[in-house]
Amino acid sequence: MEIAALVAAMLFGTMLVPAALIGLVWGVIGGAMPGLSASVTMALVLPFTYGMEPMTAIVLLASVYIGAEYGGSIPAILIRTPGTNSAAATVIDGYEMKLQGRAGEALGISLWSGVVGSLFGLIALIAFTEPLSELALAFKPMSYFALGILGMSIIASMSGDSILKGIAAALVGMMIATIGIDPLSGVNRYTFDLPDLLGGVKPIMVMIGLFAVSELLRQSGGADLGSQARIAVRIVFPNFAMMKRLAKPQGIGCGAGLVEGLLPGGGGSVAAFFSYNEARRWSSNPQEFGKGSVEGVAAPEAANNTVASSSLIPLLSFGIPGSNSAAVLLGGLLIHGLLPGPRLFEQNGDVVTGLYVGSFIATMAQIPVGLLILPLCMWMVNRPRAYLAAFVMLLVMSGVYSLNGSFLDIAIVAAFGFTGWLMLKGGYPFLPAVLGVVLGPMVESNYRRSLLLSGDDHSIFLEDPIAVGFLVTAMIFVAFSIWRERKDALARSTMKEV
Amino acid sequence: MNAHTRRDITGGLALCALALAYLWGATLIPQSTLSDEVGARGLPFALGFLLALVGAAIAGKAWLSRTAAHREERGEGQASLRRALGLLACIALYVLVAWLVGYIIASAVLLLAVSLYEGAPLNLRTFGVAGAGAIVFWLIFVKFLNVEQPIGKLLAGS
Repeated sequence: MEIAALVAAMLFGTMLVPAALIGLVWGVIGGAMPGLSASVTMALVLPFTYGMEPMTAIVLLASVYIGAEYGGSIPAILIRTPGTNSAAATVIDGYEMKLQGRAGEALGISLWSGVVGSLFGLIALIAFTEPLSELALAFKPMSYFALGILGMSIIASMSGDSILKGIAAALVGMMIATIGIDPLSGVNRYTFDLPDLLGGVKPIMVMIGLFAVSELLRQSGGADLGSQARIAVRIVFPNFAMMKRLAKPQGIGCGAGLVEGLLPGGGGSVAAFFSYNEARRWSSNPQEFGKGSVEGVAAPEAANNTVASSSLIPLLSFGIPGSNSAAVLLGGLLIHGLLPGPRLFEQNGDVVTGLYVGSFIATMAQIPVGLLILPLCMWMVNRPRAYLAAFVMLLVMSGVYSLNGSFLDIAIVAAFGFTGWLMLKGGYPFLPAVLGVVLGPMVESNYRRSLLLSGDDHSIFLEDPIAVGFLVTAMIFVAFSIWRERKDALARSTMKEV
Repeated sequence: MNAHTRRDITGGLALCALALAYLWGATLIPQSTLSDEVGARGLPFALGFLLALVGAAIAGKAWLSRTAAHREERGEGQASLRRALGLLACIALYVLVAWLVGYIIASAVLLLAVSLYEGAPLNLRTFGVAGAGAIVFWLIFVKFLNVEQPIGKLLAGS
């Protein structure tokens, strides 16, 4: 009763509701801009929170985060450009659905899955904050190394027709990740004395180049003005039967998102790719994946939206930000004199309750806000192809420049765009390269840290039970993928003979 | 040898060349006294050798499974390459104009260049779309989002 009165007072007596709604709209817009990550979108509003009440400020920032994680899927589906790193996995089937004239369905599924993921993450945040944080604390460098290897094991089943080409793409991705300052010794690697390269190549630049620019290059000179099929400007929200079908991939996404949110560094990308792969593995229609599968959109969207809430668990309990966005939120807490940890719950319980209530409002408001914004987005992609290509190109250039204010970034993205075009022509898959860029640093730095801890004794990886669990699971995944590929190849050759 | 096989052989050899260049780059990474046993060069060397092996395997596999010659569609491939390079030239033009005169004019130039390159008619509407689009982008990124965009060398002092 007391809590109900507190919540009612917050809803009607504070700026909590407007903050949640404004934050959500801002987040969706920022997330939909390629190059503006969720953390940058949050950082842009941070200065405006100085004069706000602590609870209003924290709710605003958390709502921006929720909105940005959802917004990232809009350009991923409509123009093959992930708005955020974690939306890269949504591109695979989301864009395929758009090409099939099912963009409205893809956006509806992404919206629904985002709501499911956010709600699940919020429930986990409220219920499991303290016990689950203890699990994150149990992670050692060996565990993170093994987690990276587990993520890499997905490559085997994401390589399309040729595992060799998938491995080559992953190796090139890992090579790109070695550019910049070596995290352990501090020496420069492949920076060519360019200061702009000291910080390395951001994964979002690789993704924008490979997915968006290469697509523009591929489509160049395609259908003439007016001859392109128009896509329906109507959001198709999943019906009950579809919701039932999506429940399994969403469950996988929620589970993966919950685990990744607890661990620093991932930011939702690993969970999105991992859940995509697992959704395919456990699907009764795995052949649809990569060709416009509804489950292929639902799983990663549920995952990255779960991360938006679950990454707050270690933040609130121990002050450990699980992602860049959580780090910005930590900044927001500190600006208002709020110290994360057990004392936050004791001394500023109202702020925490307000955060829960505000996040719930933002989560539920995703549906009406999404339904209002999405038709506008779809109207935009129905413009004549020549103009659309020009606007997408300018959007990409503007977003990329905003990352560091550097022309070199534009050159890098253009180079990756051309590389992507060559990969398309040669039949090399993009996703292993993206995984290599995202997971390469995690694998390398934690491998070397582990060896430093053990005095170069590799048996340390077998002494950590979490690492052993991940490594064994990775081996099972690879073996299963190879077995399934051989089985599929045998089935194809049998079909040919018949 | 068909186009697919030749592409795989070329791709495999290109990967080998990339691996060799990367390995050469690895030898230039300085050694640090703070370095651990694996060192800053450890992973680059491993990745370079692995990529060379995989590249050779892709090329070798394609060579072994080569089939009789087919009619090539080389002209189509070259046209596609020319289109892609043309669009990359539009990006280079944008960078040059942005560096010189800043974001808003560069945006208009990019919108106009890409629209025309992609087949839009050379008329007032196309110019209008480019101009209006540039202003909208400037308002969104510079004024509304307050995101840094190129000022332009010529306008920086004014």
